Amino acid sequence: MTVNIRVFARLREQMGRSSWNESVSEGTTASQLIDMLVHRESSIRPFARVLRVAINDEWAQGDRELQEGDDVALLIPVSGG
Amino acid sequence: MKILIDIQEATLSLDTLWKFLAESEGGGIAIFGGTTRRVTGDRVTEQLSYEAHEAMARKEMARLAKLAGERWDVLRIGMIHRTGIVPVSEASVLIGVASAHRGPAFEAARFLIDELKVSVPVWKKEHFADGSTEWQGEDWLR
Repeated sequence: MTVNIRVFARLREQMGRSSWNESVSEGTTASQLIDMLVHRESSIRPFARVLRVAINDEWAQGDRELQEGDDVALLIPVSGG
Repeated sequence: MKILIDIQEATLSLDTLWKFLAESEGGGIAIFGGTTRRVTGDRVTEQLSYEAHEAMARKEMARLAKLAGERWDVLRIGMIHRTGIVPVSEASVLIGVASAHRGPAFEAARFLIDELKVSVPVWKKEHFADGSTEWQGEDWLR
């Protein structure tokens, strides 16, 4: 199945893109997706221990299973305000 | 309780927020404004720029406002964050709370800005006078 991944701010600059589609197998969790991306994308490795995901505009736990068409935001600690 | 949430590139309007809060007809309004600071330590800032996961940031601000409404006896809450360039002295965020008495307004406003800085997906980049730039809030990288 396919999910859409989005990155913002520092991560967007680091990766040189803001969104892309990713094919994942059924049952893949948010944590597994992070592990896979960190393994593949050296540009985000420095951020590995602080990466979190939001699915469909809400914070998600690592054990959350992805669904077809999910909008997955890969986020580092925020700094607004 | 009524809630006003917005994310915008335009200069933040205190008048709009005030009008929304004052319509509550309560006895007190507390407003916190976060502004771009000129000097931090020995570094001079020209401007900040902000980038947001906008849809999520709106949802998250609304969630925090609802939470504050459950914890404190407040009438209205407004949370407005600016994105894009914010020059020195201009506001990047306005948090306003209206209540019948001042205590809950102050307490809820403090809670909302503190929580916004933890969970609302917005990121700040510092543009220094020497031409360099730096994403903020990355102490965890060092």
